[in-house]
Amino acid sequence: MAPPDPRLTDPKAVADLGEKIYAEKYRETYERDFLGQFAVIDVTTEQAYHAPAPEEVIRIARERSPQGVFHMIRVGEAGAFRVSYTARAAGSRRLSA
Amino acid sequence: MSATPPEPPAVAGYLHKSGCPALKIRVWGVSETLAQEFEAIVDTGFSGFLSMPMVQAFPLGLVLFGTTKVVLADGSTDTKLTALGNIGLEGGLNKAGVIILETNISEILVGVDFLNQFERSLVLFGERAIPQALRSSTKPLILIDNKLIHAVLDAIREAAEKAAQDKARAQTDAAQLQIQSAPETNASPEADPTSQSN
Repeated sequence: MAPPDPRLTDPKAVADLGEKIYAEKYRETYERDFLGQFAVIDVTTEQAYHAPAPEEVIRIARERSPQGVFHMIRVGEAGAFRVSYTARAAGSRRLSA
Repeated sequence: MSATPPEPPAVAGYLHKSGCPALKIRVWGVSETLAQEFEAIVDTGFSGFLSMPMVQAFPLGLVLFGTTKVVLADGSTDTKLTALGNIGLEGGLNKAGVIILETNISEILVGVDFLNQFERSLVLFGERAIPQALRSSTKPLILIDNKLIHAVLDAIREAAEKAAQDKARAQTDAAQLQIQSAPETNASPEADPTSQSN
C-alpha cells in the first residue's frame, strides 16, 4: 500500500486540496455543462466525477476509484449543502488542523 | 416469494419541544443490525439528507466517504466529514443518502434531500389550523407520499379546467341569448310589401 499523502493530514486539508483541483481543472467546464450537479474530486488522482444527485456521484466515484479520498462539491455553489445555522451557533471548534 | 408490502401513504411526526417539526428515524450504515432510533428535526433550511453529531454516528457503522463544504446561514462555509448511511421510517421505508457528520451541533436534522429521497411531501399543521374537535386525532406533521399529492393536484387541475370550460360555455350561451333577444332593426318601406305609405 502506498504511503499516505503528507498533504492529506486532516479533513480541511482534503477539502482545500479538492477545491483547488476543482478550481484549476474542472470549474470552467463543469459550470458550463453541469451547473447544479454534484461533483466529487478524488484528491489522490485529481479525477472528478459528476451526477445530478449526491448519492449517485458517490456510487460512481467509489466504483471508479475504490481507494479514493473524495471531496464533494455542488457545481456553481459555494458548498454542496446549505444549513440553517450560523457560524456563531456552530462555535469556534471547526473541523480544522 | 413474498410480495413487497405497500408503502404507507403517510408517515406521522410530531412537534418537538422546541416547536419544530420532528419524527422518529432509524439510522445505520453497513448493517441494519447496527440501527439505532433517533429523534430528527425536519429542517427545510437544510438542503441535505441527514446531519448528525459525529459522536452519535460512531456506533452505527456508517461508511466514511470524504469531505464537503456546507454553506451556513450567514453565507460563510465550513468543512464537514461525510458518510453514507441509511434512514428507516415506519412502515419499512428505507433510503440511503449522504450523512453530514457534525462536530458542534447537537441536533439530528433531516433536510430537503430526505424528502426527495423518500418521495414525500411535508404537511405541517399550525396550532390553529386543526379544529379543536380534531386535535386529539390529527397529527401536526405528516409526510405524505408524493403519488397522493400528484393525484390531488391532478384532481384540482381537472376541476379548474372543467370550471373554466363551464364558465366559457355559459358566457357563449349568454351572448347567443342576447343576440336572439335583441329587437329587430326597422326595414325600409320598399323592402316591406305589407307596409302602406300615405
